[in-house]
This record gives sequence, structure tokens and C-alpha cells, in this order.
Amino acid sequence: MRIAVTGLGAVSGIGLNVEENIDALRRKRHGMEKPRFFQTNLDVPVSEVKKSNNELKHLLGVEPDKTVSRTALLGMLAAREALSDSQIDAKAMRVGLISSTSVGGMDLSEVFYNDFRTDHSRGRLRMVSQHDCGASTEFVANQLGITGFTTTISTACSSAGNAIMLGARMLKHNMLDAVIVGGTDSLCKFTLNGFNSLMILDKEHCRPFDASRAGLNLGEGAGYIVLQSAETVRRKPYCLLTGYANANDAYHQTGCSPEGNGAFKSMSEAIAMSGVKLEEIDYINVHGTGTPNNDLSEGMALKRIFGDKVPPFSSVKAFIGHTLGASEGIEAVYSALSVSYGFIYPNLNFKSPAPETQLVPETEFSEGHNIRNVLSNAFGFGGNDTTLLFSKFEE
Amino acid sequence: MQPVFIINSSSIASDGTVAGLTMPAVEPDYKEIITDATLRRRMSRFVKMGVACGLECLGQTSDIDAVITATGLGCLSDTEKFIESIVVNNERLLNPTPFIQSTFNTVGGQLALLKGIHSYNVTYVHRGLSFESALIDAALQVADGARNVLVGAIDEITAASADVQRRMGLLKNYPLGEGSQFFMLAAKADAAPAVCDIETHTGLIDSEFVSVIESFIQRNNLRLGDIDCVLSGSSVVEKMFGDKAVDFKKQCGEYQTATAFALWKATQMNCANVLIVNQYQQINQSLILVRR
Repeated sequence: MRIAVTGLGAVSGIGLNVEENIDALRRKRHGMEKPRFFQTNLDVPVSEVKKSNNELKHLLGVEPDKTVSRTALLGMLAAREALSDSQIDAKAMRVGLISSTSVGGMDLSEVFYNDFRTDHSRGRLRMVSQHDCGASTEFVANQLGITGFTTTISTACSSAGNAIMLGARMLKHNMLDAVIVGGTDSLCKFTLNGFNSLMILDKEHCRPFDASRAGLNLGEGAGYIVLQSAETVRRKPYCLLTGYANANDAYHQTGCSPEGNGAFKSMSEAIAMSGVKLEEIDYINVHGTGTPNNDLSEGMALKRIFGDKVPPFSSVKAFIGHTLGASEGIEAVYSALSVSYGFIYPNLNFKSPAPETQLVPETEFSEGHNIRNVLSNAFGFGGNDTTLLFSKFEE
Repeated sequence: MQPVFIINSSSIASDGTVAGLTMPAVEPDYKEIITDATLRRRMSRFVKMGVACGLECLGQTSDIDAVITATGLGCLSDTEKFIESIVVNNERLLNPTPFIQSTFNTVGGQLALLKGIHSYNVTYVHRGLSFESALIDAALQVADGARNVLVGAIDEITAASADVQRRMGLLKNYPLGEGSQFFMLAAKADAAPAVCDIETHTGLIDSEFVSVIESFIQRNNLRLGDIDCVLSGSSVVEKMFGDKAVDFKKQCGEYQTATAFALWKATQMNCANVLIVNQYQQINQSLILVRR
């Protein structure tokens, strides 16, 4: 079965829909600044979605006094765009939703905990009832009227890649006719302080793949794609999902192996599955968080696979930040558009290559390329490495 | 779906003793199972329970093609510890260990790390369907040719969680439970129980659930009378199956991944057809058919 990508939806610090996201990438307009809505004492830049919760609720037609986590609101916005873009008839088909998140309703739980911590009889229960990750997925399912198979994946920063993989596998096993797959995560103190305590946040704007890179910036957002069999599409697909693989680095709970074993395995297996030749891969959307460890490990894995012929590649993390559980959802949207329109995205803030790999990313936006295949990486805590491979759709 | 055989299983669960609002798991001596003392000290109870249970199930098996875990609420104690430190220390100079260990996929990651398993590794976190989702993924892995697939679930009780769930009215029928169960699945095995079908739903009312159960049984070419035992976590079942229904939550308590305990119970029984029927609160409904 050929798995077609027929719908795209994205919300991030650089735009509330796919069009705004691409426009910002084209104009090299990043979303990194001091937080406006999110409260923290940490003085670090973040890529925040530039709408308050009430503004998001208004866009979604959700009552302003209804308690909904920001993770769910962002997810609803992006998933709604993806579903409508796909033109599928959700009532006539078995449509599933596989969503991912790393924080769920933590933004609300943090408020609850302030009152609850000293007295367990205090704190508003509606602020903690969305703590679990499944709650945000159920909000999205309800918003879209999805009654088919619904689940949630959480494998830290590779989560959405795994949601996309499961969706494709369920289609191949004829368990679903179409599936909305991707992820959502909002900024919260928990993750910002977590990454800060690990000392991998850059106080400045992050510089993926640059020799001077010093850490990542966090972001928030959501990204979903709609997958279905190429035989059932009602519109021309953006591309096909022809390869995917999930591997484990099995090196360290939070760090990557210096030689990039997990990344090497996930990329190699995704390429092998799709059957494309190395020279037919025309662009790579790297994970490229901007931490010294990730970019070195990923760079080494790229060199091991492609030798001195590494295809054009870039990281979009300096635009949208690391959006954790949403990251591969948003980046899958960008990757699908890269195949569809021949886009190559700029890697901001790059000056000089890392001495170990000498790899130089693309630094300008360009379009109209004949992009046959795009490889897209997402790596996370727990050694989780997932790679997706998107290919040109031909009738 | 193609049946998947349970070739090994392990469990850390309550012995049925109720302590106030909770039914705590009887934990093994972790020193015997997680031998690295430094590693063990860093692990929360949740992580120790999951890792120990996973290691027990792995035993000497090599060639693991997938590690799939499930949890409803994840590493709660580390999550609480880290939130508390954010408040108390006002976002300054925090110890990263509870943050690192609070990630939902910590147990899956630790098992991969300890046993050098570089294969497929995923964690499901979907309320009362977390374990069922993991089991569906595991069955797909087996159908796609995976040899040995490790699948398991973990949830833990904390004082804060028990208080919140009591206030929400979630502990009216059962005390709060916890535990971990792991299963080794394979495409073929002699004389082993097999998971033959799994179905998940959200938001069904009782009458809808009854017809879902009936068509599930029919789909598997069985009649109601062919079911030898029903491991039930739902009130609709007693009316349908009478004294064939055993309320498994009286043994393990109520929590999102309690069906992993029910599946472990099913592996311990010598029945041709065991049906696990679960309802997590009024939110999620699931069915698992186990046959010998």
C-alpha cells in the first residue's frame, strides 16, 4: 500500500497555520523572543505561539470560561487545519487520531499544584483533570468529531514521529482508512526548568550545527498530517510516506552516543524500507536541536551514511524552537511541503562548521528544486530515534 | 488480527490488601534484579517497578525486536518532586534527576539501555487505553515479522494522586491501585495463551458497550456461552455473564493500566477462552480476548 500525505496543519511560534509558517521561513522571520503569555523567572528566549489562550479559544469556537490546556488548544487548531486540508469525509471512513505530547496538561497542573502542595484539600480539580497526556488527544478528537481509534504516544522529543509511524502501520493493516497523526506541546515551567537544570538551554538564540552552538531554545506548537491509502485520496497528495524507522541509541538516558548509533540505525532502516538510493535523497530536515551533543551525534551519523556526499540539510529549530512532542509533527508538515514544492529551509545563525564533522547546512530559503525524497529526523530522551522518509507522489 | 502468543510474563502487583484509599503493590527485593546500586538509588519506585518487572520478563531472551510500554500517569513521584523543587527554589539551581526520570518513556529507555536493545521502542500514554494501545502495537509488530516483542505497563500510587483521585470521585468503586506487568510476545508457541483480539472505545454508554461486547464475541466466531471466564472491570458484565465474571479490580485496585494485571491473570488460568472487559471510569472501554 502506498501511504499518501493529503492534509497538513501546523501552529508554531512563527505562524498559526501552514501558510503563515512557510511565509515566515521564506522571510527568515524566527519566533524567538522573551515569553509574552507564559510566566517564568528564567531569562531565556522561547518560541511562543503569539496568541493567548482566550484568543486561541476564540479561533476554535471554545467557550472562554471552559478550562482547556494550552496543549489541547494548540493541537485542536493544527489538527483541524490538517483534516480540512485533506478533504476526507470523516463520516464515511474509519478515521483515527494518533497524537503525541510530552507535557499534556502540565500548564494547568502547575497552577493547581501551587494551591495543592501545602494542603491537599485545596486546588481546583478542573485544573488537574487534564494532567494526563490522553486528555489533550480526547479534546482534539472531540473537536474534530473523530470516533475511530484514538491513542497517545509519549517518547519525549521523538513522539510525533512515532505517532506518524503507527498511523502508517495501522493503514497497512487495514485497521483504518485514514488517520490524523502528529503531536502537540505547550510551553510550561516543568520542561523549561527541566532543560535548564540539564544545562542544555542556550541563553542566546540557538545555533544548530554551528561550531559555537551552546544549547537549544524551547518552543511550543502542534503539527499534524493526514495519511491515507493513495487509492482513496480526494485531492492530489503532497507526497508519499515511503519509509520510517524507530531505533534506540541505548547509550544514555538523556544523551546521544558520540558516533550516533541510534540515528545511524533509524536513518539507515528508513532508507532501506523505502528502497530509494542515497543519491535520490535531495534534502534532510535534521533534528538539529543546537545542543553540542545532538548535533555532533546526528552529524556523525549523517557522515557514516552519506560519506562526503551529505545532501542539502538544515534545522528549523532556530525558527520554532524545540517543540518536543510536537516537533516531528510540525517538521513533517515542512518536509511534506519540501517534497511537494521543492522548498529548502534556511538554518539560521550558522557561521562556521563543527570541527568534527565540517558539515555546512543550507542557510537560505530556496524553492523550485526537484526534491524526490526528504529524510526527517526526531531524537529524544530514552535513546529514542525516529526517522521518516517522504517521497514524491506520482500518479 | 493474527493471534500473538504470550511466551513469558511477569508481574508486580497488590496481594489484595487494602491500605486506606489504596492497594499498594507488593514489591520484590530490587537488589536482586537491578544489581547496579548507583543506578537503583537514582530510580523512583515507578522506574524500579517497571524496570525490575521488564527485566524479569526478558530473562535470558535475546533478539528483542521491540520494547513497548504503557502508563496512564507516568512517573508521578518524580513529576511531583520536580514541580515542588520549581516552586520551592523559585526556578533556580534545580537537581535534574527527577526531571530526567519523569519522562513517560523512562522505563522503556532504561530497559533498552540496560540490555543494549537497539530496536523499536515506544510508550503509550492514553488514559484507560494505554496498555491496550501498546498491545495493539505489539501485535502489529509480531504480524510484521518481529520475533520477540516485550510489552508492559506501569503505574504508581502517590499520596497526592490518591488525594486528587478521591476528591474527583474516581475511587468510589475501588481503592487506587498500582503495579507493573510485562509480557513477551511471539508469533508462535506451543501450549501458550494467545491474545486473539483487542478493541478500544471511548465514551460508550452501557447499552452501547453491551452490543460492542456481543459483536466482538461474534466476530471471533464464538458464542456468549463459549467464554469460560470474564475478567471484568466493568459493571455491565455481571448482567451478561453472571458468575463467570470475576472482578479483577478487587485484586489490583483501579488505575489506568489495570488491564495489564488482568492479562497477567489470564495467563495464569487454564481456560480455553478468557475475555477481559474493562471500563476505566466512564471514559474508556476495552476488550481483550485470550485463548488457549
